[in-house]
Amino acid sequence: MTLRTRLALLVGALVAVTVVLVTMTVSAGARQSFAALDAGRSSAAIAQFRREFTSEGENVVRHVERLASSDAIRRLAADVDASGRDYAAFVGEAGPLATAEGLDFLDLVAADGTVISSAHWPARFGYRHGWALDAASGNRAAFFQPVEVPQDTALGLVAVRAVQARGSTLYVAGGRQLNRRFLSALTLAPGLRAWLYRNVQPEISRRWLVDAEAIDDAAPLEPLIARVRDTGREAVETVARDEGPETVQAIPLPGRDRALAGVLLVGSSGREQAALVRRIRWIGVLFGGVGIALGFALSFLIAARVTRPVEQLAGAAREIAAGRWDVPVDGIRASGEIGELATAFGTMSRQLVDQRERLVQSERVAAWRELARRLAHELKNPLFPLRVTLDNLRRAKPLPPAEFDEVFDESVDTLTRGIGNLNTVIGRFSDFARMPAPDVSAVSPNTLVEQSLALFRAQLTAPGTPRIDTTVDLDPAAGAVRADGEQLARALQNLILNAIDAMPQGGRLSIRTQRAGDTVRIDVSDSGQGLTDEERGRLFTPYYTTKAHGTGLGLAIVQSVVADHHGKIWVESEPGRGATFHIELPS
Amino acid sequence: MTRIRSLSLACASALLAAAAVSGARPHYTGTLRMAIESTPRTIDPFAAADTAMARQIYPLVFETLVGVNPSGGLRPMLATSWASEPAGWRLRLRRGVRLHDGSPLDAAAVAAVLATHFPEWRITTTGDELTIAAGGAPADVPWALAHRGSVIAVRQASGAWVGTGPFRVDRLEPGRLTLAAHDAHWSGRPFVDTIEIDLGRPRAAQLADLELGRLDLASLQPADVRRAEQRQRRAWTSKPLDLVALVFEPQRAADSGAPLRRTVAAAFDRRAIARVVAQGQAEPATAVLPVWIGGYTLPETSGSVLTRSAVAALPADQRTIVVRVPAGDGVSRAIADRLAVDAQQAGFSILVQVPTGGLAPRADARLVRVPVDVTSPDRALAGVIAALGPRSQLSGLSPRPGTAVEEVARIEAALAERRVLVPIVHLPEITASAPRVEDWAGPLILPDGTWDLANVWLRAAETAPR
Repeated sequence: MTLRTRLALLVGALVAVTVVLVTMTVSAGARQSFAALDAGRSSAAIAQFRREFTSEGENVVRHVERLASSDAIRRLAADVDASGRDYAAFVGEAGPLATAEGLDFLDLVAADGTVISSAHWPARFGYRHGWALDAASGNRAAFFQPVEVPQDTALGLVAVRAVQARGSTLYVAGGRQLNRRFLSALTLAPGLRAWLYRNVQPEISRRWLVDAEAIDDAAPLEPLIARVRDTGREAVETVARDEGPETVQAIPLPGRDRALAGVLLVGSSGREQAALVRRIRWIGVLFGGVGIALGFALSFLIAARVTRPVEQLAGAAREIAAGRWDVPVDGIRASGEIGELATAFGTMSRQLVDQRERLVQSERVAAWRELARRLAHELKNPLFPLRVTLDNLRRAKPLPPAEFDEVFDESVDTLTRGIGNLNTVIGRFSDFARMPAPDVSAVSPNTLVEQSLALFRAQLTAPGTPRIDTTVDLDPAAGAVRADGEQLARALQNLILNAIDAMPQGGRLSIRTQRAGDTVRIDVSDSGQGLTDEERGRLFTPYYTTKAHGTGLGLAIVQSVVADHHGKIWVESEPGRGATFHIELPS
Repeated sequence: MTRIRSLSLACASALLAAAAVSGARPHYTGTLRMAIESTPRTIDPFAAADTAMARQIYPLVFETLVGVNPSGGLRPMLATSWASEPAGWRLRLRRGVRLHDGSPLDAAAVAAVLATHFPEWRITTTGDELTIAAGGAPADVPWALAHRGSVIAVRQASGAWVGTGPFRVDRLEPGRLTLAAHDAHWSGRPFVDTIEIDLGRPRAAQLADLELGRLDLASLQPADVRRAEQRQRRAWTSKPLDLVALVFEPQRAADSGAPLRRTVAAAFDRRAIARVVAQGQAEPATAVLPVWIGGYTLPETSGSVLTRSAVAALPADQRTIVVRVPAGDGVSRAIADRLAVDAQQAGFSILVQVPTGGLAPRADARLVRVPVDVTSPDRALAGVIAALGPRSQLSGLSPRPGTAVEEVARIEAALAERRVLVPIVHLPEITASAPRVEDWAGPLILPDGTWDLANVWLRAAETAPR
């Protein structure tokens, strides 16, 4: 992974984490704010309900008292008293009176507790009224009361007043029903809703909720209602809904004698909160996505701006490593440390180029000096016998002709050999100087090895010479290489000769060919004295030799041939453990 | 007959004189306005008709040979006398009777009509006498002739039916039936010239129309009697005629369910219903037939009933009874509501179901209101059982014509034992009249529920907007 990619990912990740953290913080803050707002709304709604109950109760009391003090009721009470407990004529009286006073419930109850007339359940005449007589003697305020209606029990806010007629009493029990209409008449804040539970049966059932048919998700409320019934105190519970949690507060509605008549439930839906959180989350995701995209783009640009000079420097370094020391770095635009680095790199590369040129020059001078020294050395040695021979001829001139002829013939032989030696020396130098371009064709390395080794077979097996064992390990899969067979054979011969020279006391010569992928390797090993590190470092330098009579051009020629064939040559050796020359040629 | 008419005229003169003294004198004119709930499309005395048409309108137009005396027995109508002889029943026709088309009603015409009603009878005529050989049940012949299905009506070529009643059909229009006075009625011409009958008018609306002066006569619900009287309207009540009863449907009518049905029946406070719901206008019913028709009563509770704890132990679906009541019948609805209260006290739950045309749970019972024919007990009981239909599964208990009243009572006791049919109350026919309506011959509505409109006259000073 490049520096630019890493830098871009790092910056992008930082942006993403930042966006996520911001979104979570905002979401949590909104949730807390909404929870506080919900609590406030629920409290306000409950306070509103309490006010409404109080107001409705006062209305009920006012209507019942007005009814009880009306002439119609007083006449009716007198008629009832005079009826001799035959109340049939009054069965329809309650209905019109209730309608006139706007009461949902109205029972006219005789002194003995018999229902004379019922507006909400006309058919209930003649039966005993459950609570009118008891309530008339107690608190005069309105109270919550389950009221029986046909096939159901309603929750009402009722009041009872007694009307005296002669010696008898007529009870007027009236009230209003707390039903869905009552609930819907209250303006609740959005997200709030209310239920009324009628405490009319020992078992708790959601069917006792007001307008139970319309409540299809009231089952979770039953434990809350049970808690209020058990404790008689307010309770709060959070109910899980599909659309979000709903916090439900349950308020007991005490009836007559503080008995629980009903339960008011106010639910604050978490739907809006959940929707807001979802909205924030989605906005966060949206902005986060955009931010991350922008962050990545920006980070890429920044990384590119930051890393471009570094990459240019790296490219320049690679160029230098490849040998192109004159790669320009002046075009790198950077500031700060990277700029200083670019400037230093440019200075360094220029100094390297200067030093290399100076080194080349010095090496060239050294090479010329070495060449001159070697040339002088190589030429001085053959010339010395020639000069001595010529001095012998000059001194032998006075000798008798027979002796002079003998000296002359001997001198001519010596001169001839000396001149031959000079030619040999000059030929070698000439060969090194005139290394021709390879004439490439498909040649077999194994064949070249065998042919080259054959040239030395007689020398190796000649009597009186040190014993050198030869081992040849040729890879049948070596195949062919594109090479100049003559040059490559000469290189092999130089290596073999070099190995033989390295083993004046005898030893083991090993030659091995081996295919390694797209290359063929030829290894020539000897068991001679080996090489020191310094010798290995200078082994392929022209005119460098460790032998007393070598020209120092053999291995230089081998390296030149291998290089011309786009191959590699290197040596592995340790002092006392022989040396192995490796040639690797592309196939 | 001449003597009777003379006597009638003398009485009328005396009454007219009395009325003149009091400032209200009967006179022959005016249009009597009334209304009924039904909407007949034709006037056919032999076609199926609802209670209002059969009980109140047709008797004004069509008459029988023999009438039922509310005090018991039979009374002369188109036949002045009847006697059982070895050859059969010999009836003497009233003389001077003319059909609405003016043709005289002779024995041959009557015999022809009776032959269509009773094809099994052998009828012979001699002058104004008929001899009827009925075969199997000869004692039942006068009661058969008194049945409202035995009216003497003749079909004209136009298809219209003409009778001998005090009024003839003048015209039948959508929403209005007009009857005109039959000038040649054997008992004298009615006082009013015409009777205009608004059709399809609910009872509640009739009372309002009566209070507003738009009607002269209105049929009332029992609960409206008190209100009508408070508004200076006279209420006229027949004898108890309609049976209101709870009839269990076949799925709840098995013999094994008899104790449960008896328990339910025992829970009902019939007296409270008669006294309060019907405002004292009804009679508690322990038997199918009213006492004045059947002449017997049955104990309210017969057979063993379940204890309250046994009821509480029943499955909820058995303790709940869905009762269907006829739509638009306020009295039945009020009675059903009271039954529900009574049942609740006994541990049952009665759900009152009023048909609305939509889907509804299958009813366990129905509250029916069945008119009881004012005739012999056997015929009356058979008529009720027939009216309940085969679903009541009571057809096998229907008495044969001519069954003695003791046997009828025994059949009723058997019915009460099963409690598939639970009588609640008997309701009368109630009619209120406007102040301008006078009837100088007695109550406007007769004990059998028919209207005596031939003797009604209208105060001339009273005018009412239409």
